Amino acid sequence: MENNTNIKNIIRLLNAGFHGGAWHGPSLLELTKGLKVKTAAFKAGDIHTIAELVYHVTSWRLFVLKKIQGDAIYNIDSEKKNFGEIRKVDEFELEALMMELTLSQDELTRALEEKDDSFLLEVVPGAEYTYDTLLHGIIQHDVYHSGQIAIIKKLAAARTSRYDDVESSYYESSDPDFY
Amino acid sequence: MTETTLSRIIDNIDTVFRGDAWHGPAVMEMINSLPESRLLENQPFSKQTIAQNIFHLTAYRRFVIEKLNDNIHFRLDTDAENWGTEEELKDPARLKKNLVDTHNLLLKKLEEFDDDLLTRNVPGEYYDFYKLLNGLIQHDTYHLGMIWVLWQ
Repeated sequence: MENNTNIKNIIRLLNAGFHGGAWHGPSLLELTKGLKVKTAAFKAGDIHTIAELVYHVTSWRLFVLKKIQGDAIYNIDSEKKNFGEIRKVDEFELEALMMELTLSQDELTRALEEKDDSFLLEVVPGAEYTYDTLLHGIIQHDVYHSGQIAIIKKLAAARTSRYDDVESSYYESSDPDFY
Repeated sequence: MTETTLSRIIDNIDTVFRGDAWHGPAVMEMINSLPESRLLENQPFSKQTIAQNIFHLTAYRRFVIEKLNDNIHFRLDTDAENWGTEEELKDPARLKKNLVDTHNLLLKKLEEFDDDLLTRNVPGEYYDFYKLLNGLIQHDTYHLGMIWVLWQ
């Protein structure tokens, strides 16, 4: 496809923030890989659990997908749609959450691969901003909650006497993939 | 002014910093809402305080400015360079002012360039300025997520 340099760059950023190789630090999958049920369900004060954050990240990725498909009505307008209604986190629930998250990445990248750069300047149906804003916004949304997940893992580990998870960003990481 | 890819990135850097960001709270919205008494609080689960995270955001703005100035050797190698010294962290007003001033310097520096910058390799690194500038935005949001949890 001609004239899709910016779309390809956005897919590159989306993949780096999700799979790895992002400049800022660990990706969403790197942070959630091998996540234990106890850590995913850890609750401290008003802070959402990691399980709820994974649901939330996926919800907004699906929002973006709906908008790419031209759905002007779709919105995330309730706490349930936003963070789910996860009463009990178990192995099955955690696996389902991670599967939904991974599927959203496949669907998003597939939908974007069909577009060219002119699409980025179109206004999102039902919104007042462009797809360029929306797509960079969802990448930043992923990363914002990745930062929360990184530190909630440490909090959970400290409260449950385990301290073997990572919080590091660019500088601290010894893994060259984080550059 | 004609909108270019670089101008959109600059706009994004500033939006995530000042407010009205799509993803949620902006850097200065959160930092200005924080009680200053919480900035130097040590949490047993985190190696860094909120003040150190704020310093870190400034440090990486400085990194980008140095790279835009073609400084091939500039690196943030030490803990002090990354997270600040006790002296640099003790005054919340100065800490915040340094961040805002460095941010403004960065925006001013970026105005000197056009889209050709984005495919140029960052001096001393193996990635391009597109990755660095977008990485800086994500670096802001990543540490903002951490600051939010540290604040709770």
